[in-house]
Amino acid sequence: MDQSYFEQEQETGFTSMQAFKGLLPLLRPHRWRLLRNLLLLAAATALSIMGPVLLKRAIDVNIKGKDTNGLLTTVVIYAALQLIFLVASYWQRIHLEILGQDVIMKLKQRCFDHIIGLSVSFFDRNPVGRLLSRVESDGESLRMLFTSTVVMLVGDVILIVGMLSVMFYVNWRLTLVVLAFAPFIIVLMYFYQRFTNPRFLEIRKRMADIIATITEYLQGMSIVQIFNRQKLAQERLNEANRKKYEMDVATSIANTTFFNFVFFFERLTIAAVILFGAQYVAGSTATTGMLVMFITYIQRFFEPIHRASEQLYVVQRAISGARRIFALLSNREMISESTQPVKWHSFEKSIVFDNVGLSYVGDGNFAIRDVSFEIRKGQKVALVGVTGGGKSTLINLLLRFYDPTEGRVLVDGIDTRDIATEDLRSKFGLVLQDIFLFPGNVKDNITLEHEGVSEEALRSTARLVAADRFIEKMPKKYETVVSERGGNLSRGERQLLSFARAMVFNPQVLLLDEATSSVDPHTEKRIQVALKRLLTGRTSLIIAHRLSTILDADLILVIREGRIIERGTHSELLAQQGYFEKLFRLQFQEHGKAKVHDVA
Amino acid sequence: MMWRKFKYLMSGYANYKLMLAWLILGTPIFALIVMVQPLVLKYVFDIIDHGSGELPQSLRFLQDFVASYGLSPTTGAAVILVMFAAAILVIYLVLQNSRAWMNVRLEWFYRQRAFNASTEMGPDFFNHFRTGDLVTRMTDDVAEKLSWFACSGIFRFYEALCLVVFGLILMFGLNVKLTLYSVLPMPVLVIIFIKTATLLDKRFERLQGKISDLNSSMESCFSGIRVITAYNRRNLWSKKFAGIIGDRRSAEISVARAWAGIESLYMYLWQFGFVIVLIIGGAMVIKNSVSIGELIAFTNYVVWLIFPMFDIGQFLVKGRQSAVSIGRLMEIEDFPPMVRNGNHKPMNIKFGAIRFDNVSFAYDQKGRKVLDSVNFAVTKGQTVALVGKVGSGKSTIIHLLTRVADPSEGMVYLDNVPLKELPLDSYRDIIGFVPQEPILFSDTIEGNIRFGDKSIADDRVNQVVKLSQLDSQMERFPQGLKTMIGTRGLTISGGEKQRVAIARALVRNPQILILDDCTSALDARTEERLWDALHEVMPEMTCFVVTHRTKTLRLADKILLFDEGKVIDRGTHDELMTRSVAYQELYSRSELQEAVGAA
Repeated sequence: MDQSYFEQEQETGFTSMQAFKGLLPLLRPHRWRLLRNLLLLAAATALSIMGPVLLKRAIDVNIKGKDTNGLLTTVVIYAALQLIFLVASYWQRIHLEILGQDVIMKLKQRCFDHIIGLSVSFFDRNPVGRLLSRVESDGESLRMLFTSTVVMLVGDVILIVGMLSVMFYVNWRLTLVVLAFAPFIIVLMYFYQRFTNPRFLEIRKRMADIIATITEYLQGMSIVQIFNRQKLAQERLNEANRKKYEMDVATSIANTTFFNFVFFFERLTIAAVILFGAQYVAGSTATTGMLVMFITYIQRFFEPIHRASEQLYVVQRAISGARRIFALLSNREMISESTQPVKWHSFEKSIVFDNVGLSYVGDGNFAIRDVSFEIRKGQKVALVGVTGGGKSTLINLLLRFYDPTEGRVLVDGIDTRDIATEDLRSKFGLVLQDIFLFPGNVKDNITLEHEGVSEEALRSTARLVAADRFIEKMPKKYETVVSERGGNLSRGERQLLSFARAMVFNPQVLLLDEATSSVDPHTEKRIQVALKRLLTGRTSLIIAHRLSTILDADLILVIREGRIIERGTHSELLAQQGYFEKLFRLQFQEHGKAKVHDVA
Repeated sequence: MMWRKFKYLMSGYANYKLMLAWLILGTPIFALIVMVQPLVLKYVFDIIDHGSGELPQSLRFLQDFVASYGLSPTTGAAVILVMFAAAILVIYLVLQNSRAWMNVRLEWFYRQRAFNASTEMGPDFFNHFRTGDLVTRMTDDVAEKLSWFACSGIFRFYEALCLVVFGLILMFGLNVKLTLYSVLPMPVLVIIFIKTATLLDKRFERLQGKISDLNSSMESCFSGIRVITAYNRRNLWSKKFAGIIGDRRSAEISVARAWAGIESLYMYLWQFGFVIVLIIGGAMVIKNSVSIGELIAFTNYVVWLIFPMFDIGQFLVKGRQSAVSIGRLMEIEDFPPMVRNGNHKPMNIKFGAIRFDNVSFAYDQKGRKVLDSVNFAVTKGQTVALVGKVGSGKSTIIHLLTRVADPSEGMVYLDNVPLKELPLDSYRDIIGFVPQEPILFSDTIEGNIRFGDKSIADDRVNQVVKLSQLDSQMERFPQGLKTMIGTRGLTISGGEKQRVAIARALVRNPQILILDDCTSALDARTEERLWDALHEVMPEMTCFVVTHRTKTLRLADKILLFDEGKVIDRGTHDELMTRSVAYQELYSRSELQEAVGAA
């Protein structure tokens, strides 16, 4: 389903003219192809104009002249010309299509590359749907400029000018008769577009409303039924339906009316040509064949007029799409890379948070404040606290998904902002709560398609985290495709896969946000075993939800409302009988009794 | 099956019998007028060419009409042409606009019909069909496929048949031999159209698949951007994107080729027909067996018969697609609606007591019992707290109380009448329910509270706004209660949503109030004040509360402690604290949670 039936007109900061100018550079690399194509279009158009001329000849010369052979010749030439025209026109259309595809493909690639280079904060603020419509839907509306507008501008103009020229050459008086009707058509077109354009946009909005209404009432149907409000839901949709209907009817009627009037004027023109033409024939200044030729040309005006009448809409949509795309491309919301980055070869000593504070939105609301602590190499540091306390923020800062608003984060004494992000991030292994699996197979999800991982390394990592057992049981083992969002794997299996992913590059520091969901005891056991192996001898920062994790942590930081309120080892904190003690009993006990496992 | 689908399609016309009759009767008449037009051209060109021409018998009156104004034959012919042009303008304005209007009305009708059916469906329906799928059926299938076909598709086909039939008849009337040669390509065109339409469809589907791939690839990339960034995989994804977009490009071009190829083929075949008419007709003119006017009329007929071929082909192709769409829409209606057993006459229920008598519930026959032989009784005015671990059966009690489900064994009684036998709507009118996750709709705040009931007094609405602690939020809402919330309106916080949901349940003065752990998103102070207010009004109703709030537990008239589907203990807080270890543990956990400030 189209994700974006309607995109809110946002303030983009780009005018239509700027957007239009911005499009021209896209065409530059292809200018010779475009020129060749347009020349071919012109040539094909010229060919098609010859047809009615031959028709005139067939009637006036061959038929009148009782020359059957001559007629045959003329008709054969006509047929041949048509064939050439069709072939040329087919070729031209395909190549224009390919050209359009190439231009837009490049643009979409640019958009995509730009988007993924933006910082995490951008993604937190922009729903995925909006990004998709920027790349896909707006890109497509630009492509229409090629398939429709270009053809119209060049092909149709040449066609109309060409036909008029031939007509003028053959009989200027009759041509004037034809031209007399042109103003009517132009006026009609103008009013048609003015009337329908805003309504087309409105129809899309109302369709979006219908989709939104259907979706929200279907999703909330249980409440609707419990409150006995089915009638209300039905009325709401009825109203949304009615509004779209009104707009649809207006545009449909405008549409058929416009085109029928164009037809009508076409016939009026033909009648006028016949009226005057008959006199000219009688006065020998015109022939029957001439009249037939004129009538044939007049009938050919219909298609270009049809195309022209759509253009305003196509161009408008393309321009507004372009405005949004350029607004996106000018977005510089990126984590700043230092211009002279310091090399951080290897993690040697410690990670220090020095009075760090972060306000995500910059409005004075701090997610964390006055956070200072040190993780020494080889230490296991656990973060505990209730949801939303600020623990994930620390991981965000270490990986430079965000930069601190106050204070600094130092690794081996170097401010993380001075290190190249790629350099920094390569030292960490990350396991998030939401285990993100990508389309692809098991191997791809573990190695993230990195080519430098040998089969041996892959398997030994899987063994290390005890994932190999279930992978080996799968139909295609490491080549087994993971279904969307990991649907064909259990929760525990997904967790083990994410461990494997973190470990396959042997990171120096492990960042782990433990999943809160409960799994069956058997799987839990396997996860704990895997975790133990992961953490042995490795520096780690863990947002802890497991008892086993905090028991042997070298340092536990208790976070509440963005601040560290207590710190120490497990036994030290329990002795303090403060917040941690309550938290411990609440989160890490089961059934009111402390279960201190010896995890094998 | 086909018959059923046909009936479904025709149901759209039930209220538009006049329009249907008009389209059926009018179309042939119009088609005839359109097809007579080339004969006027014949007439006029015959006059131009050799001075005299003839209109068919039935149209002679037109000749006389223009002659009576003293117009020369050619001028008169031009005038007749104009008259025909005007007539055709009016005809098509009326005919096409009728069809366009009907198309849109049908879209409205079918969509409303499918939606209304879904409002009567139970939870098993919504488990079976994903929301996105239902939305697609009610939009795509209805609009893109069905409603256009149901009117324009059918009647353009009908018009096409009439045009072809009348055209052929008139052409035969002019010259049999030439007619036969002219119409040679016609059937071929239809066959080609059908065959190539399938090819086009296939390529188009492939393209849709690639677009879908592109979208889901981007979607997973953007959703997983943290992982991609943390693992420095951006370059990889850039390359992947290039590959996918390249695939899509190939699919687009392959569709373009098919489309352009079909159009060219079509055009060429038609030109071929035209050429044949020109040669053979021309030769016949040379031999004087056909007049120039007749030749010109024939060339016009050939042109006029092309589009009907297209419409005939379209009808067959789109007809198939529409049949599929109708099938998908009928699937919605064929699904068994929610169970409504019991008499249907609405009644005023004055409730006194509820009794669960040996109630058990399982999701299917062999499934585990989610509730196992539950017995309890509640009298009017009592506040009953339901406590227990996740999955212990509390939510199922709620389902049974709201009659979203019926017991598998045992019975729920309302004043000694089985709940099953009471009219569903009347029962639901006396309950007020607040779910765990508040579900609100795009409407004003007041609209959400009233939930469609205009008969509730404004005073009452204001009362519950105060009760549910919404009045303290009023400054957040620019238009007060008339502020729009939801997708097009203001985004309100989880806590605010919960309060609106509570107001909504309270405003209709329910006799039974059912609250399912509904204050989790509120901060401690607001929660405190809310419950204080609620506790004031709760004695007026019979309340079932799923909660772990210590204060609420202490105030409850009766607490039911659930474990694995059974009520393992019951009593007041004090009673349970003395004798139930399980309750003690639960209560101390709740105290801990409140101390720690956990949600």
